[in-house]
Amino acid sequence: MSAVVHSYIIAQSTLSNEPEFVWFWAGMCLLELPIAGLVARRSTSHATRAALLALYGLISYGPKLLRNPTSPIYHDEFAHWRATYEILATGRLFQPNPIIPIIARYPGLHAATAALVNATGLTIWQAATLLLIFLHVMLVLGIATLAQSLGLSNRTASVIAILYCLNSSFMYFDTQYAYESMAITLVVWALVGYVRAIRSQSGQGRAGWGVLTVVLGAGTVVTHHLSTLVLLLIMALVALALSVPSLARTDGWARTARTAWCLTLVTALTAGAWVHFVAPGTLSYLSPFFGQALSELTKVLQGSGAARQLFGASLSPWWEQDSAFLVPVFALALSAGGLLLFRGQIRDGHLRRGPRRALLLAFVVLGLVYFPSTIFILSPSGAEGARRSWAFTWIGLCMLLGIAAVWLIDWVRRGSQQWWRVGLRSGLFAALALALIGGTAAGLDASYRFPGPFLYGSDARSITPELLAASEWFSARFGTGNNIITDRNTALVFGSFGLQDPATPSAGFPVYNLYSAKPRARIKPAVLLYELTASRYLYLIVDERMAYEVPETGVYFVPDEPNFLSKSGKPIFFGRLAKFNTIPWMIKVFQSDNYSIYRLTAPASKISYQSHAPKLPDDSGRLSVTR
Amino acid sequence: MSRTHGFLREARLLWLAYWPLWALVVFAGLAITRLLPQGYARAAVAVPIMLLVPGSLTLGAAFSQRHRPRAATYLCYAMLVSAIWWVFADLLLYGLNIKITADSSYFALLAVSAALAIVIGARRLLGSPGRGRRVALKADVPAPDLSAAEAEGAKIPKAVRGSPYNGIAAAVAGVALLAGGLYAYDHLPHPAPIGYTWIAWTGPHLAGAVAVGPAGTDLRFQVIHHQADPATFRLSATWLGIPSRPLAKPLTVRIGPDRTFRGTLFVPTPPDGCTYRIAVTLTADKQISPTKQPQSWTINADVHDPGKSLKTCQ
Repeated sequence: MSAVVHSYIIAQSTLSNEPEFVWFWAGMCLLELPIAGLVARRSTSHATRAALLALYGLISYGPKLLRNPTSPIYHDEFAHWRATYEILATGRLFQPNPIIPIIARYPGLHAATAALVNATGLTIWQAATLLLIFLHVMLVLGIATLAQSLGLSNRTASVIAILYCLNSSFMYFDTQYAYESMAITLVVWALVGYVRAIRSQSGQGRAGWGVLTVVLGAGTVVTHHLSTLVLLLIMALVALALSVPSLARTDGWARTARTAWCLTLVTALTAGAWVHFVAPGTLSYLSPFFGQALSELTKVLQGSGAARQLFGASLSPWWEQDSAFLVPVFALALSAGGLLLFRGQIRDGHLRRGPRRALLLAFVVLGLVYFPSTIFILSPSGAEGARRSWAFTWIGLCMLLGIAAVWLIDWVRRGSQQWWRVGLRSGLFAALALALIGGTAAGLDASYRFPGPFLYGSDARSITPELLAASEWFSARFGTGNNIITDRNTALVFGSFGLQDPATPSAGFPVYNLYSAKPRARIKPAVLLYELTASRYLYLIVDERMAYEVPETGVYFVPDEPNFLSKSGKPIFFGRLAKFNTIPWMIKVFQSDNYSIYRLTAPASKISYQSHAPKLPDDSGRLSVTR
Repeated sequence: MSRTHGFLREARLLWLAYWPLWALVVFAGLAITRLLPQGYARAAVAVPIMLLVPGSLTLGAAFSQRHRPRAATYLCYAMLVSAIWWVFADLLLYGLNIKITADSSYFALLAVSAALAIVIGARRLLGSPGRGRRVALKADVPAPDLSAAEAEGAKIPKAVRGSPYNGIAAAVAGVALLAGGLYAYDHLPHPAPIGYTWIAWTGPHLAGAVAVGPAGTDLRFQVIHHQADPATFRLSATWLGIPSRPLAKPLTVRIGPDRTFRGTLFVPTPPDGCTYRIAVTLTADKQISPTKQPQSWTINADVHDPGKSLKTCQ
């Protein structure tokens, strides 16, 4: 842990340099690899393995805990912080969220955090961290329990849990304060209940497991839309597998299939009811992501579109990037091994036709979806979706990988020569270390993972004391709940800690045109100013750096904004922001080093100020200061 | 020794017989934790109750004692289901149009826990005829497709499965590592945060042109210099226009680190009924902006004399 701390200290003063990565991975490998080794040992007892997995879960939360121990830092964390604050402040669920509107309709995480705050008196962030640590540990234990529920041995199941932790979302993405971090754990444990309900005999706890599946499924439904969808797809896949006679037909197979379909139906009805009555905007929120990703990918495959450059603007060193490319290769090799082992088990009669075979094959199919999904990483819109899907597909994939990995470990153990065994074991550890590094690097960029100096337009490094002070001043001066216009990163702080309501720019409400309009040119469309007045948008906040810097995320306002870069790659805002000082219906009420705040005094039809100065003596006014 | 052993046995039997009731009492005791100081001390006592009781009662209501999940699985489910119950309780309160507060959530969960305890009691009552210590339990029919690992696992004696204290040791070790890392990170030297300077209007809000009477008016502003070093600035005021004209004699001010000063601009009455724009500018003596110009900070406002007719504005 000292090495990890040291790496973060180094990272704070440089944009990105190699020692921070070396120290970080040295620390993480020293923390995690010995645990993985102990888990894989045959002589380790069941309880010790569970304890080791809990320890693994705890320490793998360390990097994110150190990344932002006191406040939100990732984009979505600000939105969820605000949602929790609103529950505590108003005592009501479903309060509008100005940063990510859809999260207001999925209050699971926020309500759970608010309950902790209410009961303990902790701050929102402290309670959130406590909850996330708990959920993270539960996730690791949940994967092991799921594997055991599928009939795998305690040892294989524990190795599977360790392998699951190599997926790109595990260390940073699913540890952020966001609804998917809670939902992924609920999904895994709902699946445990689902599998146990299917495999239990009537009157021997089947109803109980069914109840748990429904409760955890409902918990997922009220927490996160995408996780709900994935849970339903997995449940349907399993139910389908249980209905295929060649896989599952044994005595009582119809009962098993009926149980599976009933639980899937109940969860689907719960989800459907929630989307219909509570969160009707969900489909319109999710559908563009799928559609856009598919169309971009089609263009790339047809050669008419440009593929996304992997690690294009990454701050990671070459060896981290190369390791990321190795992960699918390792996964493919182990999957092939796992499939061969399955085939062998079926042939040998160890995996007879029945629910267990159907269940295992359903999870294998789920895991194999990982490989085609990696293609979406080439599509700008599909990349994020693909990465998010891996947290789910790895639930199935790690079952295959785990079986092959345990076979490999045992094969190494059977080696006759000591040096051969030591060499191969070292090789396995090295492969695990590479997969750990590559898996994490394939997730979030270094600017998210490591602290560092200010990076304009970065989601995790653009919050400065100056921005916080500007937001604080604004709230103190004008109160909260003001409709404001600003860019994406400024909106995060003003919309969360500042409790303001930033506009969500779109093609129908193109507030970015205010910034991009040339001086003395009319701001288009003409209806925009009317809309701003009618909707009481009273303040415009400008980050002056947008005139000469390109955001790290490539986004000034919203992902689907027009192109704001000139042919030379410079921002078109250069020379266009000073116009706000002379626009008659804007008064500049605040300026700091980089931020200016304007009060909009539209309607613009009112009499404007004179373009010439009055004829008065130069010293007719007077300036005075007091300390 | 035998008396202690007997007492422990009795206590265990008492616990097994009435555990839903005890769990309910423990949950009711959550109210007492409010007497503890807010923060981690209270969390250490309250969180285990919050995350164990409602979930345990749910498991008790959903499963018979024989088929209830065991050990780590039981704990995990109890905690996760408890967390979900807190969410459901808030949804229930929302549905009933009751404000979500510490009290309302607590009472909602207490009611839910009581209902679950009743279900457990009812389940026992309905399942009790013919059952007792002298009545042999019917053996479970083994699942037809148990894997070899499961069949072997069922035969492993408790001692070989390992001690449950390992889990506690792991939790303590993990929390200690996280806390130690956090402590070290917090106490090691960090680069100083980048400072800033700002200027802003204070006083009444400017929602349009400021009315300036025959005696003129004062506009107040504030400058904050949040930097490690002192700096010298030139403070000036101008009538904006083409060309701009000075409004007042400029001042030179030296500001210490992390200091605030308040300023006042006296604005004379405009000569006619026009609206004019004025600006107050703070210019750094040495600081250079990214555009290679001396760094400056400006605020502006519109002023007019409401006593003069618009017709006099030319």
